[in-house]
Amino acid sequence: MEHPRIDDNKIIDHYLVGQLSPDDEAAFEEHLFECTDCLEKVQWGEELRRGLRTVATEDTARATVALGWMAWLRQLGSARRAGLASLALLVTLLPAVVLWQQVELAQLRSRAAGSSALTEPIGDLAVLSMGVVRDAEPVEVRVDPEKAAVLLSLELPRVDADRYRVTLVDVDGSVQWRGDDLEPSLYDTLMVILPSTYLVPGSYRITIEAMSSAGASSAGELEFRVVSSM
Amino acid sequence: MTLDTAAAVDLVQRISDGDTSADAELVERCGKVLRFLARRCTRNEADAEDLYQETLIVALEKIRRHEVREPERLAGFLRALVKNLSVQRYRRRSYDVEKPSDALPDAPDERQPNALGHLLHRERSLLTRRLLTELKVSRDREVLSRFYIAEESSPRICQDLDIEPEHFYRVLHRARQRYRLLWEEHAEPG
Repeated sequence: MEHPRIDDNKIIDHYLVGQLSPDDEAAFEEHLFECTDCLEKVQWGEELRRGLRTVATEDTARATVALGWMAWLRQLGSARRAGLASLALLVTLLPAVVLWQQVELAQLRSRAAGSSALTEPIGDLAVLSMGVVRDAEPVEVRVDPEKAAVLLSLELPRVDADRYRVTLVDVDGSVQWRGDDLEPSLYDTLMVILPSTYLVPGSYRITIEAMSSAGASSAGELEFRVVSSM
Repeated sequence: MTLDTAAAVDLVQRISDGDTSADAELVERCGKVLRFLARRCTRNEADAEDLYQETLIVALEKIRRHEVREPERLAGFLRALVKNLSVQRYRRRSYDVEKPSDALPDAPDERQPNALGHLLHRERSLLTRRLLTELKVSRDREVLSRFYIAEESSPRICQDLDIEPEHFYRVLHRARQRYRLLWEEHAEPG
């Protein structure tokens, strides 16, 4: 079995879930003897599948045990059942109340820290992290003019393309910067590094387009306002 | 070190001639694949290791007895061997289970994984749960579980999760990559 066929027909994915014909399975397994790359891929895929299966099996077993408990409970009298239910409710709610208080506290702390936490420069390079949120108010970002460059980390709402185009437009509609063929990171973000002089105080809009053989299609827009941190 | 046609012919010849260094070379060239295939044919690590060892022993015996008629197809021979031995082991077990209990008074049930097997199973479970929780993209969890566990068809998953069908394998690939990155962070020592 040759590599173009393996890649084009997603042979590894189909092999892992047992969807290959017996002939294809045999040919692919024989190929493994001479291809360390494919062997490494299926070993990893098998490990992933086994891990997921282990968890799924355990969850199923727990559900079965839970059903057994339900059967046992049904045999009890109504007074005993009510007592057990109250106890279970108490035990269940106590951690929830404690957790709720902790979440409240964390939210209060977050609000106190200010909403610009992710728009503050970090370290020597100014790092600005922004997400595409529909109908969101423009965010305000601080750019230190002393910094040589600004790293924009643009979080994509979803990744359905291999390549993207990012266009930075100022308030007058003039294109300040455009980047084609940008590849999303493993965490579904596009990384753009710009000289800090490109982001003088003012309003900006970033448009993101997904590139495919059919052309460009909108993948999101975001607006932001730059203020100097000096 | 892999096994191409030339290496296969050479190995079969040397093993047949009694060259013991060729035995070690067979393990080096084919051991990883045989172990992988053995693991895929069995339910736990202990059974896989037994099947792997048995395959190597039988393979060497057959090669020495000149029973490999197409040395250039050694990979196919080894693959078929591990599958056949796996089926034989399964049949032997089924037969043992059907025997009256007094025929095997104190025989341990080999189908149960040993203590090491339990430990590995537990570790895998804990690690998988942790990684699934840490996956930042919730769609990753769903795609991985539905494809690898529920074994749902890709069109069905695409329809439910609003994924363009032509992008499905890319989405699956990225989910697997992100999972692997987390796995390497947690599973690698240090």
